[in-house]
Amino acid sequence: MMEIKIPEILEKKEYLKLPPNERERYVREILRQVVAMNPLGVTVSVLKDELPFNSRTLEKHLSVLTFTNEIYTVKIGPNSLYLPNHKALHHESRELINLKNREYIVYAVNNRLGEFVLIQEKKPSHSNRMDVGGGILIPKESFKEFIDFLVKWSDEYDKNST
Amino acid sequence: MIKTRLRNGKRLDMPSLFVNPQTSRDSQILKSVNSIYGKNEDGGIPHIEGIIVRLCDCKTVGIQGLIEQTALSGPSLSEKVIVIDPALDIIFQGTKDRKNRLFKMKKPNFEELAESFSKINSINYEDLEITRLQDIIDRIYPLLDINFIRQTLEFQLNLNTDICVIPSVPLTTMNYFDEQIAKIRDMHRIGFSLMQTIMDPDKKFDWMFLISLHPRLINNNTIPKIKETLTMHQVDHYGIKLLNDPDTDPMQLQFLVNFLDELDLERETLENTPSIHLWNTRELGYMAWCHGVNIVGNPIATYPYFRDTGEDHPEPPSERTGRYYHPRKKIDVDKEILLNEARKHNYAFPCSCEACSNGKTVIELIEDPRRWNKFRRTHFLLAKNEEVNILKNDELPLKRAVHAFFADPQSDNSTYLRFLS
Repeated sequence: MMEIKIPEILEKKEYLKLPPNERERYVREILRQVVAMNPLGVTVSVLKDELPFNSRTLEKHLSVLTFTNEIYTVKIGPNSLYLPNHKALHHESRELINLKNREYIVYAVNNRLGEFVLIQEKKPSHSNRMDVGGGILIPKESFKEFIDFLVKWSDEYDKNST
Repeated sequence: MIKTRLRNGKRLDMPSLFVNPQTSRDSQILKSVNSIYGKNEDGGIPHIEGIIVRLCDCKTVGIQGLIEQTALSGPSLSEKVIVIDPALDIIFQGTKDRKNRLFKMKKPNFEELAESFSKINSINYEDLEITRLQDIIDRIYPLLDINFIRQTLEFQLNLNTDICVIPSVPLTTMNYFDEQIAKIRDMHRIGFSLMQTIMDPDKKFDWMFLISLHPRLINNNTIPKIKETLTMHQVDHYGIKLLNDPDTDPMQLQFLVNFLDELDLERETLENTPSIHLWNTRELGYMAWCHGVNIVGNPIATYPYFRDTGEDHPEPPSERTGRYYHPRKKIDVDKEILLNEARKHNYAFPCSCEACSNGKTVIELIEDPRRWNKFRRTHFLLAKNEEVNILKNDELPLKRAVHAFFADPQSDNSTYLRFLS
């Protein structure tokens, strides 16, 4: 059986006492950390064995993390292997800008699928903590083209608005 | 001296002195002293680098005002390191006034705790098999659960304090040592897990484990367990808060020093080399600097240890008698002693701080209790600021400078010399 590293987790009776929205954030953060700690990837079945969450909960949060591009998946036969994008992040490339109470962070990413630029949005949750709201991955070789596209769009939009 | 940066960028020049305002008067004086005074061109009290406020005192002290205060010259209070001490020891052995302030708080919510304590206080345990403390453990400990811990942490994070202290119960008695230490470990574990996941996963804040304890509980048998409880997870700061005076017993002092030395050694093996704090102490803190402690916390012009006599006095005995910190004797002295000494010098104060040397005499200030209490706090802050400046910037290595401080022929405080050889 595949052995994976996991962080210290709360006992089930403890985390069930959390309010529902905090419970969701807790599970997602644990999964974020587990995937980051296992650069060779994890599957749902392995996670189910090691963590006190059911398959449905795991799949739900893994798909959110995939949607925000914090992790990515690789199909191996019938199974999906979840791999960390953050492990592939070049932290020295990280830059952040604060715009109207949201944070936008840009990273260079180098994973099995190639080189990318990750733009991540973080917004305040109800408890005033910053949560990942979304993220897009742009292939690195096309990034300049993407920026030119955005600048052109912005100029057109301003022209049409006036 | 070790310059260090907290995660939020604030700087400390360790070893450091933090002060602990406990009343609105403490807070007002702290703001005005920081704003107005200062002999050097920087002004203020730059060598007092941090402020510790207990949870129960946050409203009284006006914590938001402290965090936002800007000085006319020199570093503002907002630039100092600000920490909230959850101080759960108050609910077990604080004054009625402070307990009530805690129990009235909505977030964290102490309502259930207040109700349970009310029930406990109505019981006469004399004829029962169960002791009061066992009943407290059975009824109160389960209420200090994940949601209580989360609310306490949230309170600190919402105020943007600089070091987040994970709450825990105090260690107060050998009879229930195992139960108390188990609960501390549990609360630390839960708090650490919460910080790692939902409260501060990006590690924007410094995290701290703090154990409040009676120094008589530190001995050769308990040192390993206390140390292990403190260091069970890697956080940025470890702290001990003393709930009673170790000076009264030479053995207690020796065990405390042994413990600090062992903690210092243990700390060197850890990856992130956390800072060690010793809170709720006075001049002992300078000696502790020489045994691995980086940050010391002093209440302002107050004896740190207060025994609730059952009377509802909001202020400890030293406050009621208005003792003055004598910078040459290195101890607090009663007004009568100060007056007798000052008589020989035209009633001048035995101190060159700006408060003491502004022309007013001892006899002019001592007559009015309100004016006196305000003055001696102002003097305390200025005198301590200068003491720390001298000790840290002495040409001698720190241990020798601290030794010279206590070995001064005018000093009446030689208790710690044997730990500074």
